[in-house]
Amino acid sequence: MTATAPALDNPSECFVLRNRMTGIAVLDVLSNDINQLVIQLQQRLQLAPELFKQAPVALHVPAAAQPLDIAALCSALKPLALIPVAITATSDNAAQLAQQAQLGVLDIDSQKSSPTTPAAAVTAPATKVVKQPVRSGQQIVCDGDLIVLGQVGAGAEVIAAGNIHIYGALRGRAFAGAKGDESCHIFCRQLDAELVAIAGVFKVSEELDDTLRQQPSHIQLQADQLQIAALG
Amino acid sequence: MSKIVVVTSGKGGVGKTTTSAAFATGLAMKGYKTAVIDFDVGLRNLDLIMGCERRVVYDFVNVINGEATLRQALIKDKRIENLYVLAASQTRDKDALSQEGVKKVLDDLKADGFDFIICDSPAGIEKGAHLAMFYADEALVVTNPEVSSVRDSDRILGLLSSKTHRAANDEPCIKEHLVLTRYAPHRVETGEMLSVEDVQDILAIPLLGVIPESTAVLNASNQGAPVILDNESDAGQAYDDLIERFLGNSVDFRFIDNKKKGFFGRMFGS
Repeated sequence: MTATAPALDNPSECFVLRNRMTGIAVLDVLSNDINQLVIQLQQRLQLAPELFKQAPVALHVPAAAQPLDIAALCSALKPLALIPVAITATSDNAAQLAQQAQLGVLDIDSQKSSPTTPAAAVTAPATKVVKQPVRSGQQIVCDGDLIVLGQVGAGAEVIAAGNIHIYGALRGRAFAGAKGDESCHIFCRQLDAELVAIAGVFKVSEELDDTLRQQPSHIQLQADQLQIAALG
Repeated sequence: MSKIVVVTSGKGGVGKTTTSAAFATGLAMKGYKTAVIDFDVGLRNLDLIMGCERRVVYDFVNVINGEATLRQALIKDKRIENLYVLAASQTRDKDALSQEGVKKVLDDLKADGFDFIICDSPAGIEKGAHLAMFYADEALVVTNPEVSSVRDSDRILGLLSSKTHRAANDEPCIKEHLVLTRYAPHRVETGEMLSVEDVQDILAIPLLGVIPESTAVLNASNQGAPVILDNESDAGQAYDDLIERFLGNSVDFRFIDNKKKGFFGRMFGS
């Protein structure tokens, strides 16, 4: 993740080009029906309008979604306050799409596998600690990990791009990995949630296993399924 | 030093006005100079519960608009020394209230030497409720032992900690007190009603009082005499306990356990 542009011999270089990213949302395009996609996306974004305001996104376009008018898709995203910046390198015809849309090509998967460096830790999004109970109707949004010392009441929402730790009862809704990070977890001392979600995969209260209700719980995503286990 | 106390709940019909009237009356009975203000502009009720509806000349909105002085609008209670009522206007709506106007009235009451200023909030979370809580130092959150009321109270607690003068100025938080009203221990036992513990678990604020479901409350309302004046009644005694706790005295909770029926009660079902 640290690959920098080759250092120039000239000592007074005006910039360093890094391709390290602290976090970028990837929009997986599954259909070439742009109208439908925009409608669905709009609904999803309403869950947390603040989180994705002017967020850069990379577009992943598999063969199944092609042929696709990529330029039209890009202009359709802008009114939603999403800024398409790149096509993922794993897309089919990535180079061609990138040229059509005048975007970059982003090699995200190779970034994932490359080792992180101390420099990355410095730029990691800040952890937010909430000391008050999160009351019904309140929404807490955070770009990194979110730690709530009290409870999250029914009708309250906690949303984090990273992990969520709740040292009280979770009675409201919790969205971890809200920007698509599937490796995020949710921990709570007492599970009584209206809804839990990681990277968009969610379960509503009705689908929760009754034996786990009211229990200290750990929620993670495995093979696109939410796994909920008792803690400790 | 005057204290502004808002009586609020979110949900309607849980007993805010009954509690405001009893609380204000009880404080005045202890010798504190107390004013109680009806913030429910357009749906005024407090004057009825306080039994002064026939003496309302000027109201809260008149004072805010400068059409009357505070002194002209304050209605002195006939039974209790030191107790004053500021009625709401029935012909206006909540838009007639302004933040500056409310602040001026509260400041004038403070300057007049009132010990306690009780703000009876309207239901909901809109302008009237917002202004009633905005300048508060302490809050009585009135809740019935059922889920929708508890959720609305949770919402109100969120607003108390974020949308008030104290929150906006990073001053110490509003002191929050839970008042559980219409509590019926036998219905808790049968699982029809949330228990004190259930409600406290969800709201996580200190319990100030539990007022039992009581026929005395309806009688008091109809007669225009705050229920605390009926010291024979369970509800009246429970409000009395609540005020003692508010003033810092430790009083055991009553009326939260189901009374065991005596032999005759069991035999004849009375």
